[in-house]
Parts: sequence; structure tokens; C-alpha cells
Amino acid sequence: MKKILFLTLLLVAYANAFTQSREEITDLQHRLAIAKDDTSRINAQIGMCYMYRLGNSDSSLLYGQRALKLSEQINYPKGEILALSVMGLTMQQLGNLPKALELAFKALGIAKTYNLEDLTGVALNDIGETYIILKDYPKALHYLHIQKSNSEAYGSEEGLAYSKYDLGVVFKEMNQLDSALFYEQQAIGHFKIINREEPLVYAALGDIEMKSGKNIEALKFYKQSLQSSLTNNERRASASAYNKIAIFFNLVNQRDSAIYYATKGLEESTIISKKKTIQEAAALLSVLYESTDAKESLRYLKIADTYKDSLFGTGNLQAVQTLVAHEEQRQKEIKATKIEYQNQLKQYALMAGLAMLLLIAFFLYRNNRKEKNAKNVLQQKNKVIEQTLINLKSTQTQLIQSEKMASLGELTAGIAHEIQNPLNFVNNFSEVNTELIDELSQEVDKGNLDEVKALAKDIKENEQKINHHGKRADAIVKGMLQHSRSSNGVKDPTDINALCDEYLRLSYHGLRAKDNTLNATMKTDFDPSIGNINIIPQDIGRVVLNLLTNAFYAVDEKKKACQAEPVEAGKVYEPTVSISTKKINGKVEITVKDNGNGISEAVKEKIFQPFFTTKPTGLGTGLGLSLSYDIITKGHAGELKVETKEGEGSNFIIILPV
Amino acid sequence: MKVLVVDDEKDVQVLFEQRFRKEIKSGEMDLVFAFSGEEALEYMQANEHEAVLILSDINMPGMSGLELLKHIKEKYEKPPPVVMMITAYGDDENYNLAMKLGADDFLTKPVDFISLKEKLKPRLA
Repeated sequence: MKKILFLTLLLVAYANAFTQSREEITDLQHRLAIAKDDTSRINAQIGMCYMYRLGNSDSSLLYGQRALKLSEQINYPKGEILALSVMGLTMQQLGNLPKALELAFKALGIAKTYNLEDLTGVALNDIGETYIILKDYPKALHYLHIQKSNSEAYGSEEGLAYSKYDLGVVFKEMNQLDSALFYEQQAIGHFKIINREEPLVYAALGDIEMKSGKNIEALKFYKQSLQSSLTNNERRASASAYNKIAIFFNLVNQRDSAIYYATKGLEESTIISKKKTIQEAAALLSVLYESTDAKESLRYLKIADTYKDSLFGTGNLQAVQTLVAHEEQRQKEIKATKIEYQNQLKQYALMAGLAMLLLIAFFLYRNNRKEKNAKNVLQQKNKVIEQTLINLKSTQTQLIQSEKMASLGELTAGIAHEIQNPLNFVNNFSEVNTELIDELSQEVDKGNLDEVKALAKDIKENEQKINHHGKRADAIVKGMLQHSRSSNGVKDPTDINALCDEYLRLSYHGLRAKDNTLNATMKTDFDPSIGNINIIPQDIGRVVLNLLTNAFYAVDEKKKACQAEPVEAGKVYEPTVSISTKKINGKVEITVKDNGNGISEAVKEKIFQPFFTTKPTGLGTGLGLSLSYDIITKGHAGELKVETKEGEGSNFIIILPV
Repeated sequence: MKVLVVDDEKDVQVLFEQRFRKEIKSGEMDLVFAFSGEEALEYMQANEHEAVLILSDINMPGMSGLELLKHIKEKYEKPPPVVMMITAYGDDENYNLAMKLGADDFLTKPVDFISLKEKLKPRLA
């Protein structure tokens, strides 16, 4: 509805036939009377403003003001734009050019605010035409081009027709006649599409021909324009056409015809109060009467001057200048605002960027913090782990020590009793010697020299025995101390055969001390070619002791099992533990062999693991073989192997590099 | 009387011969030595009808003194020879076991020869 009305308004604005207008006005008045809502009322009022534009400018402006006021009240920008635009046309018609421009610019401003550029056609045309009157052709071209582009964009044939018509006029005024002709012909084409014949176009074409010096052709167009405007009952165009024809006749010195047409032009112009054409006609008449009727000439001159003043009078021009200045200021302000807005946008963008950076910085900081925290936690955990490791190491040391003490415990009993054996000899031989010395002195008294000699020999022999067994006791104690002492890790040249023999005895007697039912045949087979080898004696001693203890345990277990079963003839079990040394390919092999029950595959896999034991709880630490393995492989770069057959026995083989 | 001394340490022979040299000289005692349980049994089998007093060590490789004791007391029923144990391992367990197996006496090393002579005296008649 609104769109249709707008098109109607445009159509009406340019195809203004008086009779038609009257019908239109009646129709509009009817519509205004029955209008139920404000927008219909506004649209009808705008229509009235249009209709009364020519000849009844007061009514036009009255309706325009009402429409504007109502539109402002109900906040209806479309109404405001159109009311202002149409009032601008009326003002232009009246020759109030500053007001015309002011209203039109106001309309443009509102349209811009509300993004209603499709409604700016009338205002732009208004401004363009006003600048034509003011002979400011560049500005006129500027606004008319905008109108043309808008009309193309919004598909307004009518807008294109009128903008091109006015552009043609501008180029005509600027004496660019080819361009002028081009635009006017185009305008005719657009008018044809909307089924209209616009008299103004023909007037313009006449002007162009006139300027080209083709007077006859010019007159033809003027007459066509007049014909058309009279048919359409359009006084604005007819007034202009009369004037132009008058000018033509004046030019060709047909004074009577000139006066006739000029008078007609003045009449029509006065009816529609069009100052421009009134002034034109009056000025021409003044010239025409100059030679014949001075009084009449003066009268017309006065009329012309009056209208000239009101059109181009100092006040009017000044007002236009002020207005233009204001407009320029406004445009500048708009530009400034735009720049400010852009600056603000930039500022916002900058701030947004800063905010983003801050955000990123914050996240980075937070990540950093988190990482630091994680690091701290990790460090703390590491500390805990380190502490745990230290504790474990100390526990391990303690375990090793306890294993050592356990094996020492196994030895102590053996050692304690074993010491009694040499002591037995030491004590008794020394007692015997005391007796022998007594006998010796008796024999000396008797002078029995042979007997003295024999006794002295015995005493000396005994003395040697005492010395030997004293040293033996010393060695036993030393061995025990050596075993309990922690390894100093220093390798010493050691007689491996003597070491094996000593530990065999110690372990056997030690075990026997604890369990006197233990009995086993011990066999040794030492390779005398080995000599001294570089080992840590305490450590190797511990390994040998450990292997021997296990071997005795194994044979004892088997013996107990055999005793529990009925003994078959010829199948008497003889527990045997043997230790042998051998030098092979520059390596020394120490083999501890037993004929116990052997080790099952499943157990064999685990025997070198720490804390693994087959002994009843409390009897084994489960560390013996594990420590032995470490001593041989890590401490001596050797090997500890096991060969075993279930039911037949085991061989533990220590292989040491020499 | 014949006394069989069983011990795996060879020096025992020298010690006993010197300690009992007077008794040997006077013919009161006749010392025989065996250096393992097995050797002792062999000797006893070879000299079946000799009246023998046996002094035996306990801890010996192979047959231990207690096994020897058990063997002798089981085999020689009437009259079983006198067996005295002499050991460095003079703990209760060893003592009780020896007594259970029929040991006639239990001596600990270092041997107190004065006390040993006292114990042997009534049997040397």
C-alpha cells in the first residue's frame, strides 16, 4: 500500500494535469476523510501537498506541515521524508530556494538515518533542480547522478526519466550539447515506458537546437512542448513553452508574435506563481515594449525586477549561501563523525585486540602457573621418590647385613665349637709339656741323658702342635670376623682352594651344631694349578658358604624324606656334598654339588630373585642366592649358573675370570 | 685293656699317647686309633672278641660319632662295649641324643684328661 502510494505520488508529481489533479484531489480528500489510521492519513495529506503544489502553495504547505507533524508524532520516517521532499518542491516552485534546499536536505538526512534511500528520489531531484536555478551546475550534476544511480538500483523508471531529463538540462546549460541531447533522448525513452509525454523534455530539446543555431527545429520542439503541456493541462510547462517561443520570435524579430507568447507565458506563470517564468516573461515584455511603449516597458521591468530580487536578491542568495555553508558544515560534521566513528571503531578494535592480548597473557600466565605447580608437585613427588629410594637403599643395606648376620649365625655355632678342637690340643699339649718338663728335670737329676733328649724332642714336637693349633684357632676367629665385616670391595689375591675348604668345614660344622642329625659325606676336588686369584674374599666366601649351606640343606631334606619311607635294599641314600675347583680357558670354575632333590623348573626360574625361598618361614631370608648372584655378576664380572635334575641333585657353578 | 680312640683329627693320636704314656708304659692301657666311624667299625669287626672301650668324637665326615654309637649299641648286644663320647659340641641336644643312644659317658673338648683318667680307672682293672 505504502509502496503503491509512493509510486502514485511520484507519478502525480511529474504528470501534473490540472483536471486530473482535480480528480486526484477529490479522491485524496475522500481518502483523507475516511482514513482510519495515521499512516493512511499522512499519505493522503502528502498527496494533497503534491496536488496543491502548483497554484495553491499555501494549501500544499499546510497539508505538508500536517503530514510532517503527524509523522513525527507517531515516529513514521517515511512520512517525514516524503512530506519534507514535497514541501521542498513547493518551496522551489515558489522560488524560496533556501527553504527548498533546507527541506530536501532534511529529508535526505532522515532517509540516511533510517536507511530509506529508496525514498530520496524526490528530494534529490528537488536539490538538483534548485542548483540548476542557482546555476551551480557541478552540485546539480552531483545530486542528479545520485538520483539516477538510486533509480537504477531501485528500478524506478520514473526516477530515471526525470533525473536524465534534468541532467540533460544541466549539460545544456553548460553548453555540452551532445551530452544534453543524449540524456534528453534517453529521458524520452524512459517516459515512453511509463506511457507519458513530458512537455519539459521537448522544451529542453528546443533549447538544445536553439543553442546549436537550428532555430526552426527549436521552434518545432517548443511548439510540441506547448502542445503537450496544453493537452496535459500543465501550466508549469506551458508557461515555460510560451516564454521560449516568445524568446524565439524576439530573436527572429517577429515582435508581435513575441509579445503574444510572452504575455501568454506571463499569464500562465502568474496562475501557478512560478517566479522564474514570471520574471522571464516580464523581462522579455519589458524589452519588447521598450521601443514602442516606455510605460508598459517600465511596468514589466518592475515586475521582472521584483521577481528577480526575490529569486536572486541579495537576501535570497545569502540565505542560499548560508544554507549551503550549513550543509557543507553538516557534511563536514558527518564526515568528521564518520572519521570519529571510524577512529572509535579502530579504538574499539585496538581495545578488543588489547583485551585479547590480555586474555592470552592471562591464559599463558595461568598455564605457566599450572606448569609451575605441576613442576612443584613433580619435584615434591621426586623428593618423596628420592627419599623412598634412600630408604629402600638403606633397607637393602640392612637386609644384606641381616643376611650376612643370618649366615654368620649359621656359622657362629660352628665356629664356637670348632674353636674347641684346636683349644683341646693347645690346652692338653701344654699340660703334657708341663709334665714332660717335670720328668725332664728328674731325668737330668738322674743323669739319664738319652731319656732327657727323647723328652726334649717330645716337648718340642708338642710345642709345635700347640703353635699349629693356636694358629688354627686364630684363623677360625679371623675368618668369622672377616665374614661379619662389610665388604671393603677390594680384591686381594686369594687362595681359592683354601677358602673353599675353610667354608666347607665351617658350614658343615655350623649346620651340624644346629642340627646334629645332619650328616653328609663331603668331597673336595681342588685344582692345585689355580694358585691365587684376585677376588674379594669376604664376598666370594659368602657365596661359597651360601651355596654349601643350600647344598647341605638339600641333602638333609632328601635324607629326611628317605627315612620317612621304607628303605629298599641297595637303595641306601648317601647324602653327599662336594666342592671342586677347576681352571678352564683362563677362567676359574667353583662347583658346589649335592645329590639332593634337585630343583623343579618353576622354582629354578625364581631362585635368583630376592626374597624367594623354599625354606619354611623364618628359616631363610630369601636373599642368599640373590646376593650371591649380584656378588658374582656385578662384583666380579663372573657367572653363576645352576644345573639341576629333579630327584638327582644340583650343581651350582661359579665362573670367575682370572 | 684296649681303648679305641675315634677322631678325624690325626693329632689326637699324639695327644692321647702322650697323655696316657704312663698307663701305656705300665701296660694298663693299649691305645688303638681310628680316624673315622667307618674305620672304627672295621677295626671292631676284625678284632671281634677283644674287650674294647671306645672314645669317640661326634663331628666327623661320613659316619658321625652318634651313628657309630647307635651302630655299636645295636649290634653288640651282650655285652655292648663301653662307648664314651668326646665332642666339641657339648650342647644339651647332643648330650641327650648320645645318652638316648646308649652312650656310657659324655665328655667335652677341650678334654680334661685328669677327669677322663678318673672315669677310666674303675674300668681298667
